Order: sequence, then C-alpha cells, then structure tokens
Amino acid sequence: MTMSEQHIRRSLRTELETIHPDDGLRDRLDARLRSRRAARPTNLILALATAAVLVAVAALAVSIKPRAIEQTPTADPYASVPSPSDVNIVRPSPSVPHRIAALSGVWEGLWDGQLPSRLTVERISGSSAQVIYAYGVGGQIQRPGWRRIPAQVSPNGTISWDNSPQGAMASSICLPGATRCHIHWTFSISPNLATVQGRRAVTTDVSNYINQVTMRRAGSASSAPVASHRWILGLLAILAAAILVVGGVFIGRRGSRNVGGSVT
Amino acid sequence: MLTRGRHEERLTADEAIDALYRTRSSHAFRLAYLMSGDRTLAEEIVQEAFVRTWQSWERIRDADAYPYLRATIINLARSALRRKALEIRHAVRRREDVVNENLADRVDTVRAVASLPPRQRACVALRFYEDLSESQTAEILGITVGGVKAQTAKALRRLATILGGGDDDDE
Repeated sequence: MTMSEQHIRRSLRTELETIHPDDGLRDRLDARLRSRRAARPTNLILALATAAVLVAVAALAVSIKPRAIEQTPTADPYASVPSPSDVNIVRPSPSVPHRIAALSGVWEGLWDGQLPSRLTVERISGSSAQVIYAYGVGGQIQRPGWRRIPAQVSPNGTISWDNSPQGAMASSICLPGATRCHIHWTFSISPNLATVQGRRAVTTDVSNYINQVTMRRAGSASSAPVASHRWILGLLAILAAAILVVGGVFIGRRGSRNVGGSVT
Repeated sequence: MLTRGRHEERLTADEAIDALYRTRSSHAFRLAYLMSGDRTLAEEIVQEAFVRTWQSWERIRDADAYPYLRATIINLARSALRRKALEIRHAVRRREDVVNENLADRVDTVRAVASLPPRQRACVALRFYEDLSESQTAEILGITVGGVKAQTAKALRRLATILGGGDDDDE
C-alpha cells in the first residue's frame, strides 16, 4: 500500500500550520549571536599575541644569537693573528684598474688549512703595493708575527714579493737542514673579486715545495653562512607574523562589521 | 531576496539574519520540528542554524539565504538524530510510542514521519514539505537521486502502514 504523495504533502502542511515557535525563540537566538560575536575579538587578540611572539623570535635570531657566536673564541680562527696598531688602508686612486683596486683591504685565510694568516693591502697602484702580511698560531708555527712589505703588482691582479726568511719564519717555513731558502709569494684575486688565491713557492738547497691559501675578505669567511641563516630565520618569522596580523585584522574587520548591526 | 535598494546592495549579516528570521523562522522551525519530532530539539536546531548562517553570510553566494538555512537544519537534525541513534532505534521498534510526548497531541502524519529513520525522514521533509525535486534533495543529503527515490518509496510505504494500519515493510 503506497501513500499518495499529494496526501502526505497536504497533511504535513495542514498539521504543521498549527505549530509555532515560542515567543522567546528570538531572544534566545539574539543571545546566542551576541555570545558568538564576543568570541571574535578573541581571535584577533590571539593572532596579535602569536605575531608578537614571532617578532620576538625574529629579534632574538637577528641580534642576540650572532653576538654569542662572535664572542666564542673558537669561532674566530684568526684571533691569534696579530695586527699592527698603525694599519692605514688608503683608497686606491680611480686610475687604478678595477681588478687591481679590488685587492685593497684585508684578506684572511688558512695556509694548507692550518696556519691562519692575514694580508692587508694598505696601498696599491697599478704597479706596486704596500702590504702587511701577518700570521697566527697553527701548524708548526707557535709564535705569531707580521711584516710590512713593499710588493709588485702585475696587470692581471697579482701581488707578489720575494724574500729569504730568517729566524722563526725561516725555521718554520724552510725545511730543517736547509742552508739556503728563498720564497716567492703571490696573491691573485679571483675573477669574481671575492677571493684571493695565495701561493708561496719555497726553494731551498734541500727541496722545493709550494703552499697555498684561499683568502676571503676579513669577517666574511666564517660568519657569512651564520648570518645568512640568521636572516632567513628572521625574515621567515617576520613574514609569518605579518600573515598573522593581516589574517587577524581581516577576521576582526569581519567581526566588527557584523557586530555593527543589530539582529533585533 | 536579501538585498536592499535599487542597486541590489547586499545586506550585512545582521540585516540578512533579521530579514530571514522575520520571513522564514516559523517555516524553519516547522521543518526542524518535522525532522526532530521534538520542540526543544527543534528550537535548538533552528537557533544553531541561524547562527551558522550568520557566520557564513560572507561566503553565501546566493542572495537568498534560506537554502543554506534549510540545508543546515537538515544536517543538524540528522546529526542530532544520529547522536540519539539508540533512542531512535528503540522508538522505531515501538512505533506507537515513537513520537515524542510533544507530538502526543498532534495529528497523525507528522507523528508518523517522526517514526521514520532519519534519512527517510529527511527525504519526506524535503520532498513533501519543502517541495524540492529529487535532485535537489539528493544534493542536500549527499546521496544519489536513485537513493532519494528508494528512501522516499520506503518512507511512503511505511507511512501508509502506520497511517493506514497495514503491514509494515522492512526498511
């Protein structure tokens, strides 16, 4: 037995017409809407609070952590390299070729990955330069030292000089037992001007050999990667904070717009 | 249409809910009542449906918010009935007592509908009280048109049994 659809339709309408909501329904609905509205500013506050925390994290990443690293003695391999008090770096003349002028300044590197050294190019022209070569403690050298040296400059961007060391440097660089020792030093700047390739060719009456070093501008060698990560972390935190603030403001605006009217 | 003025400016959420309440609250309450068979539950469902419509107003593309309200009522009622699944099953078994005390003084058809399983109840409410097509009903319930036809047919057979005193068909 199947009920007529029309009969069901008619009966439902007729019967349900007698049913009405309570008079208080509207008041209860308004109360519920008010409570939902009140919850909306909480979202904004939560977003702003989270953003503030992220900004604080960014500030920590950018400022406090780097200082801690810089203050760690082991973080700077060049701490043992001495520097004279009268270092005076003179800006190269505009007439000096760019590739040669780029050598001006302070370069640091480790000979054979062991001996920290610093090359300070104080003055440089197209054909000559005045440099300070300093070395710290590493490898077989236990006493740091430095020398101010007049050097030649070749057009391809290479500083060079020759010397026959004596004393401590001779005993550490030249092989024991050698009676004659001559060293030819060259420092060539790389095509991208970011590094200097150092080379010292040692000639003795016992044997000949070569040491090498790759130097970078002082302060850029070890700290650059840390700084890079630091800034990425900081930028990400600031970006996240900005998104949260924008999202919070958007939610807040929606909430305030809705709160603006009245249901009743 | 929940718009204002000649330029069809869209109403704010509060204005839309206000207009919707004035024009459709009684009908919405009856739909909730038909689905739930309980005045208290129907009122709860209607309130929550209005609140959700208010919250979703920015996302409702249709100028008329009633379809959204209606679908919300149906879904809320079905959820509420699922939570009370044991009671409902018990009520279906004891068909004569199925209907809430609220329905005791009501006439037969609404009372009989309240004894149907939730999905059949929804089909009857949407097809015969809301006058929706089978495809519109299927969309709201998330089932196929064939499913709507089958559920509606079962519901009609069961209603005939209850109201006409015939034998009960299985679901």
